[in-house]
Amino acid sequence: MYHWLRNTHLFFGSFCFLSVLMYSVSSIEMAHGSWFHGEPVVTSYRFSISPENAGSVRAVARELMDRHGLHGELRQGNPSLEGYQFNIVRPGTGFVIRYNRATGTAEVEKREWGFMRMLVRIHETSALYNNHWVSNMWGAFTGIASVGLITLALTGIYLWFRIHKERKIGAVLLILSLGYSLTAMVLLRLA
Amino acid sequence: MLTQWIKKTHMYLGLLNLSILLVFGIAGLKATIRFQGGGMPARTGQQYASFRMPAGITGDREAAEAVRAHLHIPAVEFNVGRDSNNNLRCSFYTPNGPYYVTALEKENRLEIAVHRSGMLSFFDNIHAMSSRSARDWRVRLWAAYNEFSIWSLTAMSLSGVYLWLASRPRFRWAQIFFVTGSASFLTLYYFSR
Repeated sequence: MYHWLRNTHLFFGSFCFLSVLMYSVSSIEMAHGSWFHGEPVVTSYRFSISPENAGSVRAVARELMDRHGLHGELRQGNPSLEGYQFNIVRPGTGFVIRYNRATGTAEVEKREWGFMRMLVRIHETSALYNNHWVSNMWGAFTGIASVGLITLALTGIYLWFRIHKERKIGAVLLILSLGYSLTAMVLLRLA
Repeated sequence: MLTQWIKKTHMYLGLLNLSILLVFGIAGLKATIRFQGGGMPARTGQQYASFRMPAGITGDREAAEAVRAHLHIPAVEFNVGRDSNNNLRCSFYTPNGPYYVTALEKENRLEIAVHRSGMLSFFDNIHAMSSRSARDWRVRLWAAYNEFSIWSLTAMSLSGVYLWLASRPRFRWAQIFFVTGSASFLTLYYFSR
């Protein structure tokens, strides 16, 4: 039992190492955004779109993906006065696109986020129903890392308890921790 | 000696962060399995309370803070606006779901609409709580724990890898899990750029 749980702790810890590190480091950015410079690098392009491929937001997006290499999830597609406006996004890069029907051109603003901001965007990517496979894979990673965190926490408690000389001080820390956190949680929930 | 010290630190941080690690895990699972278009929880109650706006308050945000303090709402953040009758409408975002409070200043009372969410949403909300602008002491209490946990998690990740390498670096299965997890992560990172 002990060896099995010790190995489980090690396997989940080693598999989830980078994911858990990403969640913790990106949380620091989220809590202390002013410590970091999070402005994206913006590059602008202009592409011609043939009228037969500009019948809808999805058609224009598809044309940009097929012919100009943009890839990501299509979001916030809306008609505008001139034509269409929409975004194509993946965690590290976003494209803001304005299609002008009169000129037949799409103005593309590419925003590439820095390392820390990108970690935050990966942190915020979840669920399995996104329209882009990268986002779905991050969603799956979120699930694995979550199961990993729960497993690491529970197996960790068992592993601590098996070290007899650490039981006293560990028990004090555990009582302090549970006392503080459960009190705060109950106070918040009952508020 | 160093390894013993790091092992103790890793273990003690784990004990101090037990409940929040479980909260993070539950919040992550909820985010993974959530369905599209979840939206705001349904309104679970509406009530009225008497309230006289304190003299000297002029700004809407100060007024909203007075309303929040009067009702003891554990708001993480809030917005203010006006309804069609020009009454101050405050949206308070709490771990339990939003409260929408309309200050009926001429009548000296508050109209309170509560949208209470379930336990899974509660865990999801508290996992992301930071203390940047919150005035409520309960929010600050939990946010302090959140702050402690994000630094602890960083330390535990790094110390965990150190402990593996210091104790069983040649353990083949651990190497396989580490390489598989890291390679998958880095590949996805590459395609996310």
